[in-house]
Amino acid sequence: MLRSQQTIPAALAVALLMLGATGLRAEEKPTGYQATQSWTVGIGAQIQVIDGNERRFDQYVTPPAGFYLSRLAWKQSDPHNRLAADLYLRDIGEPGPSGELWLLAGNTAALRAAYRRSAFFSDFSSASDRTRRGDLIVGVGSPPGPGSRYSWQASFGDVGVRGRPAAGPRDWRTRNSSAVFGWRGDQYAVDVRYGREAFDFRTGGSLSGTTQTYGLSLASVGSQNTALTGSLQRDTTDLDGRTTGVDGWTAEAALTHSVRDNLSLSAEVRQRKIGQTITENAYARRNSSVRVEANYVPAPHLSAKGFWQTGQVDYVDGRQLNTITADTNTLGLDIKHRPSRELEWRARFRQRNVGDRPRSYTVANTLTNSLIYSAVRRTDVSFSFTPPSAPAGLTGQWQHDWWRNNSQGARNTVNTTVLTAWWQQPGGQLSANASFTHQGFGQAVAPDPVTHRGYASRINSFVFGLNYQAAPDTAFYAAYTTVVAQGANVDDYGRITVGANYTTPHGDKLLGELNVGSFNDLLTPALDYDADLLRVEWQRGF
Amino acid sequence: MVRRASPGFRVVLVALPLAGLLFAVMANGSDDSAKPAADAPKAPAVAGSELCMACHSDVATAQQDDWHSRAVASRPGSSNCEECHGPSAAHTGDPANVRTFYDVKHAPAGRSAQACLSCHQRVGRNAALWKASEHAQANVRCWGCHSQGATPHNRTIRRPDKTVCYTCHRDEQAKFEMTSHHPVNEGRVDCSDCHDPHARQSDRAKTDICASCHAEQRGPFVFAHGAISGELTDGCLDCHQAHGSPNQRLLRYTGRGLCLQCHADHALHFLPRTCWSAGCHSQVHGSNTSPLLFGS
Repeated sequence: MLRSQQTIPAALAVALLMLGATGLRAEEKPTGYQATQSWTVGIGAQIQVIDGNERRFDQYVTPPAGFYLSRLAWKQSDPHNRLAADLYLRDIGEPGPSGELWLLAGNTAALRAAYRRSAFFSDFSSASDRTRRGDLIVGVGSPPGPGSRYSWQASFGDVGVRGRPAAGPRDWRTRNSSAVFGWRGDQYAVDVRYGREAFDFRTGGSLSGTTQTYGLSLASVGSQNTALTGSLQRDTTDLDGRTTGVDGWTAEAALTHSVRDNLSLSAEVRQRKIGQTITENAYARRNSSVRVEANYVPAPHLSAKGFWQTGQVDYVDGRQLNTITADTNTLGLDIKHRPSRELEWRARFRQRNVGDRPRSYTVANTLTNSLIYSAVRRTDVSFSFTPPSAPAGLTGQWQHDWWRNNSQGARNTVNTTVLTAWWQQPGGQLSANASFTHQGFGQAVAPDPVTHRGYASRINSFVFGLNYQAAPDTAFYAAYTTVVAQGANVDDYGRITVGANYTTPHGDKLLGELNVGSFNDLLTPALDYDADLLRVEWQRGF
Repeated sequence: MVRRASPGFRVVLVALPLAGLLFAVMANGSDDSAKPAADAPKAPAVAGSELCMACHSDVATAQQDDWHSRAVASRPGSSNCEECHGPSAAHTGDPANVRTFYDVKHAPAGRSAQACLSCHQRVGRNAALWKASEHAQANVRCWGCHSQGATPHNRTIRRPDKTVCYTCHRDEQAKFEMTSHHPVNEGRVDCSDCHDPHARQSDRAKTDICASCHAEQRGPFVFAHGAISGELTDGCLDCHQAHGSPNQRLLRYTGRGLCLQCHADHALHFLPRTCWSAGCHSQVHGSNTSPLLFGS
């Protein structure tokens, strides 16, 4: 268990102090609301039959087993919102519990705490145990409200991973604390922020230390048509066992102006500079960029957006004897059109070119070819068709990603095609949806000369879903998923899900779901599995 | 060859677009300095939410359990219903007249968001930046996500989850079913863990977003792998597909094919071993001991 229990009472204490200090003095007037409090308890049971590689099945999460407390929820509020609370816990006591708590104290302070733990297999070998990860976030701040001059926020985060196998990545933990204080005037708003992160990699050769961040932000708030923002940030990293650390500055400014209702312009400048680093090979000492963008609506249901971004990077080479200044230029265009009520289409294009790409030296002191892509391009076309005569629709998308490195002779692509259809029965009892996705990973490199296998892959997936509302208190659903990969990886995955929900006359909810799935890896059959899960759940509110 | 841009060029590069934009602002004027004319019509009167509840009792009932409605109603000086819908005195005097209201439901997203932004001023920091976001330009209204298309009277969702995103981004739902994927469907990761729905997508934040969860890959390292830094490339996305991939660990290509994307001259290097899984260049994200990223 993460040693984080101290932080939750501390955050609650802050929230309650705020309540005591200001909440009870809040001006009270009749609101027409009543005090409410409700509980919801859920009991679940899950039977799981795995035939094959259980580690592969639990790659991302270990599901609950047997009987378990599936959910516990509590809500309470009073007519004047002196204290409103919303607590939700899920899979309590199981390998992957999660929960969220939200408190609103007298419209003065709001607290949100969220916890999530995962148990999974990051290593499929038989010698490894489950890796466990825990994420805790606690945030306190002043809630939004009109006319508030001052605002404040404080947050704490604790993330840790443990149980890693001896070989490979190590256990680690980070703890983040931050505070933001803001002032808002009639024309401008100012934020001052401080953050501190302590990172601990415990075992292995990775570095541990702390990073502190100081920030100042300014934004114009007086106009709905013009926005000017700027920020300045300094970050310093001290590392355990080292006399030198890392420090850098980042400055940004952005201006957005609505010239007319159908035309807005924006410009953004940014520079990051590293004053000190521990890196002993290549790195970017300075990174400056300027971006200008225009959004234009020339006609009803037709819009266009264009942007141009240019930048310079001072790149220190691998031996840190030379600094190469590389130029980047990115051009983007986005057009959206709705020629009729039924049809809408969209086209997007973006290309980035890199000039004067840095090169480095090998250990034999020979100059290498540049490893940086000369050009990167994305083209995306999509459409949506919804006939007015039927509650149905069809959407499609084609996306082409392309990378080119002239000096290496490398050209790589990813093509993605998605087609989705949906239909709903008039009256709304029956609905269905189907989605097909194809993704192809192309690479210009020749196949492996020993195994004769190429490195490119392609994957097709098909998802079909059906929902049937048999009665106001009864619903059925079914889903079918199949995923097939070919090329460098040859595997297929399929899953069928059927389920039902029923609400009793007393308001209890009954849920039942059956999942039958299988995974087959034709290149590594040891990873295959068949998995059957049956889950039932009963929920009652009080 | 080393070449540095002249200081004058850099000044022009930064100043020219800002100067052009400022000129456009000054040439077209601004609403900031406009003063109301002496004969401008008086602001419509507020009638009070008790009158609203007298007719719209169904809304009053639905709001009983909604924390957002209570928060709006209990705030000092709040006019409850009229905080979002605008002054209602003309409507209560003539119930058939609904045009006096601010049309929250049917106005374009950028305008209808003003009702929410009057309190939630920190969304996108201010109204003009929200308007520049992709969601606003796609006419997505606040309650489209925060009430799943219903009204915010009785079902306000503080943090919409993946089911809300999937109603429009169905293609991403399919990608999360691929062989290797971020565990969104398993409930371990939310879309909002990586994406800010209120702001425009930022190209430069890719590596920072990944490092917020994968801190062990962030560094700093004594010997960094240049690909992941992201100043001249796409950072983590040079090697990984964020949503789903047929290859383990969300990799774009498998085995030495991944490294051959950039290191194309190493196609015959130490065949048939792979680059990192064979135990050689295993510190692929960066090493504190080896310039060639060998394992310790």
